[in-house]
Amino acid sequence: MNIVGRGALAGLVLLIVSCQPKSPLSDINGNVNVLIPKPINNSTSYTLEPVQLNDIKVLKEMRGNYAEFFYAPGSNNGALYGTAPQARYSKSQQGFFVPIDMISSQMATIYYHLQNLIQLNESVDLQAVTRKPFQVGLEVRKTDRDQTYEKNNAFYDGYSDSMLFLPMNTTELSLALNAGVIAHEFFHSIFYKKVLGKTKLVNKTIKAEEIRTAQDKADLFNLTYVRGINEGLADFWGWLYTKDIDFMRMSFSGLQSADRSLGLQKLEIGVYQTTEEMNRNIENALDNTVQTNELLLDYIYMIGTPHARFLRNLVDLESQATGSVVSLKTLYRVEGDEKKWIRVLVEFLDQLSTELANLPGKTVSAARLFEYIGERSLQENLLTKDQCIFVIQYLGEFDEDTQVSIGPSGQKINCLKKTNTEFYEARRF
Amino acid sequence: MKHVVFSFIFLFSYFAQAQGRAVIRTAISQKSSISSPDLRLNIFLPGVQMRYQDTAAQSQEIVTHYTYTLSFQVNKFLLGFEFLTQAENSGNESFEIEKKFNEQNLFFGYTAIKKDFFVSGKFLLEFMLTPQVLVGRSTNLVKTRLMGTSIESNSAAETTYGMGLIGSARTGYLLVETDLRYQTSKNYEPGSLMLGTVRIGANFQF
Repeated sequence: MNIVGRGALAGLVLLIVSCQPKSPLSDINGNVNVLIPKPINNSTSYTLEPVQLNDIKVLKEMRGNYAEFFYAPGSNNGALYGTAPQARYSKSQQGFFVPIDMISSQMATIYYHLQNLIQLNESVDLQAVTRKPFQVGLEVRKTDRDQTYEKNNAFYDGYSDSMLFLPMNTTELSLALNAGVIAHEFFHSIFYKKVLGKTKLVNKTIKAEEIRTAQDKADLFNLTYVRGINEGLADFWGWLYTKDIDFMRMSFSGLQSADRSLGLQKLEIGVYQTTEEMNRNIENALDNTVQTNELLLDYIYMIGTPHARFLRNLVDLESQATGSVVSLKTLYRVEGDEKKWIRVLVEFLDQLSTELANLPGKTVSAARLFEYIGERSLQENLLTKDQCIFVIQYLGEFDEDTQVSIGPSGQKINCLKKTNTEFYEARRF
Repeated sequence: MKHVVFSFIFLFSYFAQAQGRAVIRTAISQKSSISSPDLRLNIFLPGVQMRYQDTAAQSQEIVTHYTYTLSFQVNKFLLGFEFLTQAENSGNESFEIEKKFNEQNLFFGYTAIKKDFFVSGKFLLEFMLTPQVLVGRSTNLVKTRLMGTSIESNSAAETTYGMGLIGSARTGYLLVETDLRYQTSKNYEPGSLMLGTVRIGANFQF
């Protein structure tokens, strides 16, 4: 090579080294606008919209104050471990970032919803049960009983206190892009810290041969009830966030979604799994010694969904009375009465946790949530007339003509107007 | 043509500041040889370029890009234009992301080594090694589809820089090139990457 060639090579090296740009995402932090799919306010459809993700520390890993991601992680000592997925974005001419693959889109979408949900928690004094940043596992490898990798599911893992998303291979909206599902899983973290984690009722596999004593049966009843309302209240949380009574259908258009719709027909008001029905179904599951756990896991949704529909209708009745639209999307910004149902729900969890701890050998009432609302209506301005009449239909046999319910022990339950207010109380006589 | 030659002189003088005046003098000395220049037009079939980069599968893999290249050669100096495109899809029927990457590069080279061989005493086979530098622009067009609706987002054009080495084999009209490069751009993932190109074309001498 002559001197020109050598000079050219040396010059090229100098040029490249001096001009080398960094990765476009490496230095970006703070508040970042990213295009994500999100529910349209007060609608049941989705749109693509740039949203602001706050307090991002490393955009390439979508790590910030609200979320931290792991790709196909393991868990150890109460936390996830593994590598962070690498986000890939193109910066649009309008200045916002556009995810250029599915994983990046999932990361941005989850971050945005966790940011809203954590901010809501902070506004209703739930900081103590809020992990921040929230750990999230994507493309999680989980094997089922046949040692094959499970797909198309998402769950909250109380052990690692993290939200885990399994790979999707369907044509429907990924669970990691479904705002209602993210809110649903997020609620499980609240429930775990408020109830499950404080009791000996853990999410263990139920084996029929291990249920021998009355204590075992009471524990199984309580566990089934707690699992049931955990799912139901999580569905309610998903509805609060999206205002979509059927938020699951975006990702599961099949039977599961229809069964868990939060729509409530008139004939379904007051219908739920009573203590007697629960006992009967648990006995049936125990009779099938091979699939006891699977049967009970299917059954818990029959317990939970009526609770979700009950709470949704209660909030809707309030919205109709006040003309306001209540959803987490507005709640986390608005102080005032709109948050009261979240506070009521959270305080119910504390009450339930206390009662479960003080019930050795006894079972909790399957109507405990409905009873709790009725009891609170005696102490505070909680229920409008329509709400009160709705609630007492869950407390006994309701007579449409007299607007009175007859409770399990024969007592009458009536809605009485409280003195000097527009509110009503569910009074037992 | 003089403009091209003087452009090269300027470019090399810029590149070779560290090498001192000797380089400039040598480059200028090339000017004296243009009285009967070896002037060629190289037209290539669509080629493939392999880039080692991030993918939607959360790994770094060799990704195939398609290139369309045209170059001119004056004696030992090479000036070329390259258009490059690559498409990537991820997602499913409900939510799909389609990324189209485009890049246009202008490359400048200087043939530092050239060896000629006669095959069977008849065919002249020429091998050349040409260090090169390139500059260009790259853009991403991202189409995001959500349940039937879609948004297209064009990225801002980002400058690309690169350096590398072209290995060429030429006999008659036939020209085969392999091109190894190190390139950087803000539209790359990661920001700097290695790539290799194989292209076959024809050269026409004037």
